[in-house]
Amino acid sequence: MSKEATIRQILVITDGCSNIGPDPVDAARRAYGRGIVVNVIGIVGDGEAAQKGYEEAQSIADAGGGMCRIVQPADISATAQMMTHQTMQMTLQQVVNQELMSVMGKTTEDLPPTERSRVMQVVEKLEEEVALQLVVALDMSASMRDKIPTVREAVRDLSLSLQVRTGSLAVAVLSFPGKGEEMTKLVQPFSDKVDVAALESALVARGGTPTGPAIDYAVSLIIERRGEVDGFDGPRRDFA
Amino acid sequence: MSDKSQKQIPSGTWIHGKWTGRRWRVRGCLGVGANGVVYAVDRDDGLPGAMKVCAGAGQVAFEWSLLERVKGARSPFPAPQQIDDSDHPLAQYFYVMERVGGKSLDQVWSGLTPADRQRVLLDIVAGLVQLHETGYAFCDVKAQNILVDVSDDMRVRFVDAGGVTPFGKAVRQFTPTSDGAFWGVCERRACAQYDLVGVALMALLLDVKPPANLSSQSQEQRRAWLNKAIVQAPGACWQSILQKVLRGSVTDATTFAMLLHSIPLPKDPERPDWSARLMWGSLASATLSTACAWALYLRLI
Ligand SMILES: Nc1ncnc2c1ncn2[C@@H]1O[C@H](COP(=O)(O)OP(=O)(O)OP(=O)(O)O)[C@@H](O)[C@H]1O
Repeated sequence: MSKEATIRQILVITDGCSNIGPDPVDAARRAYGRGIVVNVIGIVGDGEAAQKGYEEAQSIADAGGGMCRIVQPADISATAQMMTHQTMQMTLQQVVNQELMSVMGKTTEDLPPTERSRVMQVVEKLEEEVALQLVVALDMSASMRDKIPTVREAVRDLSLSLQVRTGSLAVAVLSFPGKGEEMTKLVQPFSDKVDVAALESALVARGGTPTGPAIDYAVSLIIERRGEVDGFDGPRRDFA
Repeated sequence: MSDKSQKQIPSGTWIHGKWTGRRWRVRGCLGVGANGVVYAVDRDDGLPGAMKVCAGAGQVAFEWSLLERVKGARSPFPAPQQIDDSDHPLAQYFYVMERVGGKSLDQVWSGLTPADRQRVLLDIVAGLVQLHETGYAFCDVKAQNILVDVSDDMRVRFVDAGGVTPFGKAVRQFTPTSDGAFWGVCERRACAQYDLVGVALMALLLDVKPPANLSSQSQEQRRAWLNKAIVQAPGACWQSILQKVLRGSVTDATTFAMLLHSIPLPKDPERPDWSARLMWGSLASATLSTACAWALYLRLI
């Protein structure tokens, strides 16, 4: 593997429809255009508003090249780790597929099944070793109030999964909306683990749901960290 | 990704393998999981098997490679048979493995006697001893992934190799309630101890229901609940062993097995053990021989 290949992801955890700022679907598309996958966990609610929320969650994930799952609060933790794992695997499989295509002119599916296993073992190894940059964006609108402890534990738990990988981890957490008029708030800047104390004190539910601005902010955090703004940069380039 | 409502292959359908040239006849569905559907199949030469179909070629190939890596005469996992593709829209990518009998542990547990439960636990740990020798951990230890064949002397097998991970690597697939890291007991890294903790958690939670607000509790609260639950658990004699495992003082499957082995099997009321049988037998024959002596003495026979 080259110097340090990095996978970049945003995980949005929300229980409703965005209602402030730019369209989150457009924001997710911009993120994906920069090689950042956007995953969404929607928390089950009831009524028509919930239905609209589910549809939006799915559209965000579709535009962001990621996955979407609608779950009960108790399942956020397991879902977050499953989605991160599967989308990392997806990204790496795409990378490996492109590599196969350029070297042999074949896709994984063109290979005999027994040889595909060897390709998947490469993917497995890459997943363990690749560096991961993850921004967790937490919906802290008023309706989230009684779910805060569960969400907090889920984020901490996700970090437990990612910390033990061989590859380096940089995880940042933001919440939306922020204080006062602010759309977003940085709960924790990029770090090699989740700061539980910061999470405990910073998560307060209030106001509306600026999902679009939150995704844009997450993207800006990742790009800032990358140190250069180099336009459209799919995951491919990092592995070349 | 498959969801549970997806269409299933009708029984009687023949699936033609593109690469191996073999054919399999579908006999029915064995189970639907998060990653795919498993069917009971018979190969053209009559060999029974279980066919796992996933949506993506990658997932199929990945699970296949895991089965290949942990296979062996005494492997607790089903032996891999073939990996192939077909033109059937519901079986594009699949692999076939040994068909394992029995029902999952969560289905049979309540019907097991204490002695059978102990035997099953011991067999699970013995399965882990075998697996760990290959340098891999199961990681997704849970009652749904353990099949117990009540009709075949409680034979224990594992299904779903999807979580199998080389020692030392990050665990990819787990179930929170059987996951030591979730409970604040150990790291989420594949090792023998991770599996043992999984078995201990599973055994405990088969008897005691976790609190409803578990997911919103902190690790410290979860641990505290665990410590309380384990002393209050309905009197099974392996409780102290589970306690040792959860405290981290048992780190390999062989030691766990030896500890389980060292406790005497509880006596089942409906199945008196051999010493009782011996005693009653001796008493009966003693009575009989005394009767014979009297009969002889009285010249009755
Ligand atoms: N080799 C086998 N023999 C008999 N039954 C099997 C076999 N493999 C799987 N099954 C049955 O099919 C069910 C689903 O299989 P499996 O657990 O592999 O699917 P999965 O998609 O990985 O599920 P999970 O949701 O647990 O990850 C199992 O619970 C089991 O009952």
